[in-house]
Amino acid sequence: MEAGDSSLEAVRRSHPRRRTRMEPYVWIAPALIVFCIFSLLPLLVGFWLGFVSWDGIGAIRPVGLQNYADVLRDGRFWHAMGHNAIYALGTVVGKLSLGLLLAVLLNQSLFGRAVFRTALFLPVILSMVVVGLLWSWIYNWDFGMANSILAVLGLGALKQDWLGNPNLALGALIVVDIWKYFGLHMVIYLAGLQSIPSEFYEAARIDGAGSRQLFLRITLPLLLPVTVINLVLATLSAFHVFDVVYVMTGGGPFMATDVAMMEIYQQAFQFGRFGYAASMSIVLFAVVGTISLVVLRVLRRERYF
Amino acid sequence: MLTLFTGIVVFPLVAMVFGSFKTQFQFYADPWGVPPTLSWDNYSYAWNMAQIPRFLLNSIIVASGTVSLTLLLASAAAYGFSSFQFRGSRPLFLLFVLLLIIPVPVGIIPLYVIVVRLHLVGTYLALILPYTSGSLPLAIFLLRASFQAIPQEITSAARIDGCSHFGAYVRIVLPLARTGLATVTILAFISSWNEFFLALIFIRDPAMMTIPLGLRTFVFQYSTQWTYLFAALTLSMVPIVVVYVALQRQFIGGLASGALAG
Repeated sequence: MEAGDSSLEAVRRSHPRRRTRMEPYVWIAPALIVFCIFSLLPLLVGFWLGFVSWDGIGAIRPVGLQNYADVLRDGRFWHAMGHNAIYALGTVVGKLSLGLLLAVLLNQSLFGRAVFRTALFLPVILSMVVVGLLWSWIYNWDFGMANSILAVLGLGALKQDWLGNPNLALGALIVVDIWKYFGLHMVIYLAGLQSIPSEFYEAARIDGAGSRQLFLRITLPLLLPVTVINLVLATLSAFHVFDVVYVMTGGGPFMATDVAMMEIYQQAFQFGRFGYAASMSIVLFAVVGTISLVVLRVLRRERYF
Repeated sequence: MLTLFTGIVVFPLVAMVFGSFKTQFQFYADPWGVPPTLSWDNYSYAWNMAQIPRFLLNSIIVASGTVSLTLLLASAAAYGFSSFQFRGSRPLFLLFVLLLIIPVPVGIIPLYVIVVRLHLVGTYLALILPYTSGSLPLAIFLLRASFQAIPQEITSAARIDGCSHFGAYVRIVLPLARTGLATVTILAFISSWNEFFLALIFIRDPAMMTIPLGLRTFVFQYSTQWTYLFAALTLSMVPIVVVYVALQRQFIGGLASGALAG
């Protein structure tokens, strides 16, 4: 111990004191500089930009709360937000139920488990653009897989113009999103399932519980924290959805798949209304933030966290 | 049941690969069955006419640039946070982690202005720097945890033996934190390889387009030629799917821990 202390002293003496005090900052500075310029500064400027009128080139004119008043009255924007809400509902239900079902199926010891897991997770690593283009073909009227499978099943009468029909297009996009991301939620559920001690099940089985009861009384309640994580993740992604819409429908037909990020993109990069688009994104942030906070609040009160 | 589900999930991808080997005529006769003969015409078309190799090259440059820069900056910062006690350590760390909790599109418009003002438009850095910055919070968070898991005795012993901080970082901490570094590599790679929104607003020149942006532009030119599209999509997937199948355990674990940290 003593020897250790004295050699530590020797190490300290060999470095000038000032350098040791500065050293941690030197390690962190490169990351901090990049992060400040490309993440933090844009974020702060973004909040300020909501209060000005600017086309990106000309003069910046402060307009106070005018942008926000306009956003609140903007029917197109709220119409789009409504689609985000439907999208959130559809994808959350689809991703979480499919994810849980497949996680439970995968949690048994069975032959080729890794192969199934790898295959089911595959869409998660693909680009949404690739996935969207592939599904544009599946939904194609003449040669798409969806209609041609219906025909094979003798349901040719149900043939649909999946992306061209305003009543179906949003649902069609929701299916694509579920297909791409359920694997992520499956893996998170799988991690949750594996953390449940098997003694719980053994004890309940000795007490005469059936497999249905085991699932409802042990598995589901103990998976609640994981479910909350999945819920928040899926909701956030639904409110920020852009790629799949841009690639597959461009917001159409007749604005039936218009979403918030699509509005922000158009206002900023097609109409050059930077300030207005910034205030839209702040409103979106506020809505999403409120939803997440409410979910976490409710669950904390219920003492699940 | 599991087999059935897996079949349904994988089927669209299989049909795509099948379709990429069909002639136009074979495709119209049978859109999703097994190709009767193997035709490579679609591939030679996608390879020669549709600039797919160019897009792949751009994606490889952007993704490897992002991964290397993220590893370099994040591991240094994580070393700073895990081996020193200093004034402002906690607030600085929270500053990084704060953006992990709130993923926001609020910064996108100012980011565009900053990238334009720094004259980065038209260079790979226009994508590499924002992607790196976006990967940093999660990377620092994960690496700090994995550096802290290294027993303190090992690093102090090296320091007592006269090793500098840089020496300890290069020779002890980095080799011992391989799992954490692998996770960060995969996360940064996937997100930069697949990113679309920033590429869409920063890249105008077709010669600079990454795979997602290039494919989207390509399909608008040849949208009725489905077999060409299949070949292009298949080509674009090959690199990432090969790496994924080889390292599937790390991929799945990495993406799950990334999602959980968020």
